[in-house]
Amino acid sequence: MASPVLSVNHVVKTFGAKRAVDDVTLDVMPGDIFGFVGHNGAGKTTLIRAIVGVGSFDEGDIRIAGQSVRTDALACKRVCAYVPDNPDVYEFLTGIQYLNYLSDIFEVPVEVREDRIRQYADRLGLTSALGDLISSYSHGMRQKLVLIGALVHEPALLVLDEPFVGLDPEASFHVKEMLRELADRGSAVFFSSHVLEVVEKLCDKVAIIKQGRLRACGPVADIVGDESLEDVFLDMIERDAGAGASGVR
Amino acid sequence: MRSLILLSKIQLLGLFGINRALHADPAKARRILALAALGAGVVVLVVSAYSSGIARSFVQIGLTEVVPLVAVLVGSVAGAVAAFLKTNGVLFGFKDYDLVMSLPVPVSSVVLSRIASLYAMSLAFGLLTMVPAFVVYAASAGVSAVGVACMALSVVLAPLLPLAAAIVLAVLVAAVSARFRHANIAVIALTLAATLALVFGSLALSSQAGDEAAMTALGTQLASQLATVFPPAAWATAGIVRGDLAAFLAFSAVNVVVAGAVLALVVRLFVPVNSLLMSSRPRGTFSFDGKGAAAAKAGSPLRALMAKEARLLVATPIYFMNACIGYVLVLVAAIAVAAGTLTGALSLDLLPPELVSAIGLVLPWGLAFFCSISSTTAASVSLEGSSRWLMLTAPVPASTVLWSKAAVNLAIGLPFLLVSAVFVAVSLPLDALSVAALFAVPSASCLLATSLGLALDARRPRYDWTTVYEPVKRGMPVLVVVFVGMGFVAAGMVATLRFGHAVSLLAVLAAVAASVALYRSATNRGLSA
Repeated sequence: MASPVLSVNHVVKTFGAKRAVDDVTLDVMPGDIFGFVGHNGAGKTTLIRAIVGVGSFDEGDIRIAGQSVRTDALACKRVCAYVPDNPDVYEFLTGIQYLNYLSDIFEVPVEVREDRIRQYADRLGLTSALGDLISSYSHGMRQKLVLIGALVHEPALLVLDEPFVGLDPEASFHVKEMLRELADRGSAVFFSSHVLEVVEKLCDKVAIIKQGRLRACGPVADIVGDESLEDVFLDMIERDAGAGASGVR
Repeated sequence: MRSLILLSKIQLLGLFGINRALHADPAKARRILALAALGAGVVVLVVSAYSSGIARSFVQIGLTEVVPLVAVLVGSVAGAVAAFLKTNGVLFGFKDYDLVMSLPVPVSSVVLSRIASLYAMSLAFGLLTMVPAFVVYAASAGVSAVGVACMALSVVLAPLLPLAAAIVLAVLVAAVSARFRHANIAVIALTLAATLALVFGSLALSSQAGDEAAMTALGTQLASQLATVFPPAAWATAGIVRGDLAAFLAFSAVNVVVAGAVLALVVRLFVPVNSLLMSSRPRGTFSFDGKGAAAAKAGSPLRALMAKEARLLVATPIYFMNACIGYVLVLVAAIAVAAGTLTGALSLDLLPPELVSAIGLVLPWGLAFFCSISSTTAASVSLEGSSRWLMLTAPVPASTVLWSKAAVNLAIGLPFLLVSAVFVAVSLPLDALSVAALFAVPSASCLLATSLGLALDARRPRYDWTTVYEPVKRGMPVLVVVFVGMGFVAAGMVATLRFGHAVSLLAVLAAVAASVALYRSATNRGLSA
């Protein structure tokens, strides 16, 4: 059996007295598109920031492609890509400068990067704007640029925080296609979203987090059953969460 | 009025990151306030001493009545220069523009709250430069009660007219630059040219020093010219010196009326200019077969990080001017020395013998001064701002990220310093030790400023800025680098004059050791999220 690309083991993150992430455990396998849903402040972004190495965590471990984020952060970052919820990038660069910058950082050969950038930029309709300063880009254009930058080194794990916010319907369609293609090539995709319809249709697996604890985690079909993900999510949120479902794998 | 107070309060709370520190770490907030008070105290002391010294010089050469004229002029112009440099970023191109403008407050309140901070700074400059000079004048000439009242009023009113002119100029620059793709380079070139013109102007004046008669004649001539060029200063002087209330009333009226008119104009232009600055200017002409794509070459991560830092520097005129002007000035000064020697205008033979021997001791520290009070590194981590996730998720060690920031400063500074040292070394008959010190002392000072700025900014970066002005001009690391650099050079110069080049050598070794220790502490600590 293949090893998980992302393995989150009993991770705890506290801010003062508040446990923002409370003993969360989950695995994301190669080829998985894994949706991560929860209400505002549930702990999604805190866990995502810990996975990609932007934020720290207090207990447990996170492993990416077998390497520990805690002890070998660089090895994890080399195979990981991150698309934050707000696509704030260096506005003083042009789009192509930004993509070349990331390609150099991830040491992507020129011919490979050109091929990938051309392919993704054409699909997302960004090619003609690549020579312009990013400061002139709209939110959606920045979102597309960040996404191309994340894909340029063909990451083993792509982590996205609310990736569909600000995208036009056509770009949203292409992004979903691109995520599926990346997963089909053996990478794993882990993303948070409030758009439950997208999660239900696109993802193979889903985890629901509430007040820092996982309330459900598994294949979408198992979690949803005969209902919609929205119904399941709303039921779960409304129910008194007395008994937690931490440690669900 | 209430909205104006609230908007001003928000700006005040952002100052030095005090509000964030107050809510996250009160002890840190107290430290920030204490450091800010200390820094302000030093600035007040230095500028007051300088201003009263200049005023006393005028009194000594018999130009007592010129003191109020020069004080009003300097107080006005200093504030105007500061306001011009600040306007873009405070009035225009600030990040929270959309948020502020969507609030149910009049545009005039938004503009006033922002101009108030510019005026406050102009007023502070005015107080620092004018009050000590007025005190010297009052002590030397004896002033009537009307004169004292005119002096007090002129401190408050004098910045208004030049401030208004500076704002109009900044509005024009902002409006014009919004239409050009590489306006930032033009802004850097123009600001550099203006700064150099100012430096050469002061040099022309100071070259007359020593000849008191010539100085007096020049001073009188200059005063008359200045009064002609800027009559309001002459009107204010008439009020102060002769109690001429009509002239002073004219001075007051011109300042208040022009400031009011400019305020009205800015209120009118505020939205259009900001919209122009923030609107998209895409050319949309990129193609993979074109020039831009072909320019792509694979580089190492370090090279990519350094290129990014360099692009940020060039794209941000205020950052470039604040961090790199010292290097330009040191080169210009060295070229001036070389040119002066070559043309015979400057010769050590003209100096008294006891000063000739001191030149070799002092010059290395003179060159070091320019490069020890600024460094690109002091704001470089904070400038990552909301894009810091890119730095934090990059698969490179924190040490590489930090080294790229230090390397850019050294790559800019060291060539300027070394070329400057060569110019000075070949121009003046200095001994071998002095020549060695010419290269070593400025380089070590540059290294110290680089490491100190980096260590401080990496330790406590301030990412939540709304304009680049905040980390670049108001950032605590920037201020600390300035004061430590000034202290290092002053102490080094005095000690070298007393004990000789052995002190220079010791200072170089100490600066290098401190730089290594600071750099290591920064890399060991890593990057803050």
